[in-house]
Formats: sequence, structure tokens, C-alpha cells
Amino acid sequence: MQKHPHFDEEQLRKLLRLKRYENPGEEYFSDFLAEHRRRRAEWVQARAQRGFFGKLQERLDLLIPSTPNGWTAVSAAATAVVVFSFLVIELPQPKQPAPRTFAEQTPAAPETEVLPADTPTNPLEDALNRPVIVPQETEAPVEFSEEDALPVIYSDLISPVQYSSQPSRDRMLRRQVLVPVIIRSPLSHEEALDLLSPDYRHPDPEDADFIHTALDDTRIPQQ
Amino acid sequence: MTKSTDEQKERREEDKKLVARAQQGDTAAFDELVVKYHQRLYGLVYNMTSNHEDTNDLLQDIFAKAHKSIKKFRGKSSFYTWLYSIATNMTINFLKKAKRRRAMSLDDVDSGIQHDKDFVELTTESTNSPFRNANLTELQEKLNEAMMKLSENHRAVVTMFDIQGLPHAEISKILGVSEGTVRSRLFYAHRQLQAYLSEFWENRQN
Repeated sequence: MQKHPHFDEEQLRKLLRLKRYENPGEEYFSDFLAEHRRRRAEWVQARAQRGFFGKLQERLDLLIPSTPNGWTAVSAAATAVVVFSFLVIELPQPKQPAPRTFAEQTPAAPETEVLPADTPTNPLEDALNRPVIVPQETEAPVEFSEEDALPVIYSDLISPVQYSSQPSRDRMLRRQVLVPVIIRSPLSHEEALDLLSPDYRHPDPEDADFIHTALDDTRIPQQ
Repeated sequence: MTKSTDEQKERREEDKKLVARAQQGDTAAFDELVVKYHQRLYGLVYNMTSNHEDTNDLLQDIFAKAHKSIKKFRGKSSFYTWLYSIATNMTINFLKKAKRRRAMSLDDVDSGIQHDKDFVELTTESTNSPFRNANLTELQEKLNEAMMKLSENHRAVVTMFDIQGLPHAEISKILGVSEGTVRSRLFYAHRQLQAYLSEFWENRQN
């Protein structure tokens, strides 16, 4: 681990504490409330004038969690709802005949339409008024065998680790290769971080976070 | 019970009453909450953005959001923790969207800093500090540069712990992470800051 002989932890703490003195002065703070009141009055007035959709939009804004991943979570939830709805709509299918191979399948007989007696004689009008006929599906779906399923690879690497940022591809690859080894080993957090960081003298803080979470959440106890 | 625990309890009770009134539509009660917390929140947001203009806009947005959502506050955490969570999340969101915005420090530093014993210690000739003989502007610049090199999550814990003096447990509630994660983030953020400031020291020596 890198040492910093010229600048120790205590000096750093002192220096950081001095940041408390950075402030914009009393005048700014005394004006702040007036500005807040002005904005609030504007907002209340605008809200009163807003129509149904404006109010709906506001409700949605408040419903969406104000976390950095708020919109991502909402998008994921929306996708899940769409997929679920699709599955539910697909489920109540009429009884299907037993699956057949393609060779056994025969094309469905085209349906014929019986026109009423007072059908217009104009051919163009006749064509426009004619309903579109969609042939009913009579073919049974072709079944997939288990061998057709995609092989599950790297399942061993899937762990309940939450990535707090978008790690680079290299970092991701390093984690995929090393983390399964690390979580089965008795390495300490620091040793694991040294192993994971390409330059042990400058460990990546994102890696540090990752290691901490990975080891605490997924470490397999040694027998 | 210690004095600070008593004070905390008293503060929470006072907040509860103000929140209850604000939830009934009493804007004067909400104003009291604004006055009570805007300076502390300013410190949080400013030290995360290093930009006074952004801090001002964000702070107004944070209180607007808190006002709009106050009826949804159920009191499971303290109002202070809830408000800090809103502020931290909104600031991190903002920073992620405005990655390339340049830092713009305040021109004014409270004159009280000149009498602070930490400041005197760090800038006097006899000390072994990189800021020996440094002037105020240089010190401020280096501090902000170092802070801006941290990730948003690391900067948030350094701001809350080192600058604002919040305990680990409070920070973990605000950020919704374990205390272990808070400590780990602090440890690695400190190491990164030390590395940066030592580099500054070496450049000064040469």
C-alpha cells in the first residue's frame, strides 16, 4: 500500500474541517427565505392554473423516487408491466391440437365470404366496403426442444452485487474473472483490493466499494 | 443522557411539530424548517458541487421538492434525515447530468478561518504540511480540486463526515447504505485525497 509520509490523516482532517468557512455570507442566507417564498408562490399559482395533465405530471414527478437510479427503476418497472401484460394476454389461448412437424402441417383452407343481397354494384365501393378477412390460425406452434435453449454460461459469476457506477469494460472483465476466486478465499478486503486493482499503488475507489459489498454480501464461509 | 443527545431529542420534537403544521398547509411552519436547515444544506450541496450558482439553484429545488412532498413524510426517520436524503439524491443526480461543469468556488471565505487553530497549524512555517506558507486562495483551490477528483458517492461521505461532522450511523441512514460501506468509502476517499495532496507537496518542493 502506498504511504503518504508528507501528508497524514490528521492533517487531511484538519484541512477538510476548514471547508466549513467557505460560505456565501449572512446576506445570502437572509435573502434565501424570501426567494423560496417567491418561488413557492409562483409554483402554487401555476399549479392552480394547470389542467388535469399538468397535475398528473406533477404527481408522477413526485412518485418517481429521487434516487440517482429513479428513472432506470421506473423504466424497468414499465418494461416488466408491458412484458407481463403481453404474457397475460397470450395465456388464454383456445385449445390447440397436438404439436406437429412442419411436414405434417397443411395450409388452412381460405375462408369465403357470403355477401348480403343488397351489396352495392360499384366495384370500387364494393372493394372499399369489403371487410378485411384474416385467416384463422389453425396450425399448432412448433415446440422447441431443451437442446435449443441457449447454454447458461458464467452462471457461477452471477452474484447479488450492485454496481454503483458504470464500470469500464476492463474493470468488469477483471471483476468477472477474479471475484469468484476472491469470495471463496480467506483474503482480507485490502488484499482482495490489491489483487483486483491493476495498479496496487493507486487502487480504484470504485473497486474498493465493490470489494466491500461483494465480500460482505457473497463471501462463502470457509469450512 | 448527554447534553448533545438531549439537544437532538429536543430538535426532533420541535421538527415533528413543525412538520405536522406544515402538513396541514401552514406555510409559516415550513418557513421555519427552511430557516433552520438551509445553512447546513448549503454546506452539503456546495461542498459536493463546488459551485455557488449551482448550489443556490439546487437548494431552492430541494426545498421546493420537500414542500411538495411534505404530506408524504410519515416520520419513519427524522425530518432532518429525510431532507438530507432528498438533498443528497438530487445533488448526485445533478452532478451525473452535469459532469463537465467547471468548479466555481466562492470568492468569500469566512474571516474566522484566520483564527482557526487548524488553519494556523497547517499554514505556519514550522509545520511539515504542504500548505506551509500557502495563502488562503491557494488553500481553497487545492481543497476544491482534491474534492472534485472524488466520485460523487465518496464526496458525499467526506462532506457529511469530515466537513459537517455527521456520525457514521446518520450518514448510513441518509444514503441508505450500511455503516460499513460508509466507513469503507471514507477510508478510500481519504487515501485518494492524501495521494493528491502529497503530489501537490512534492511539486511544491521541486
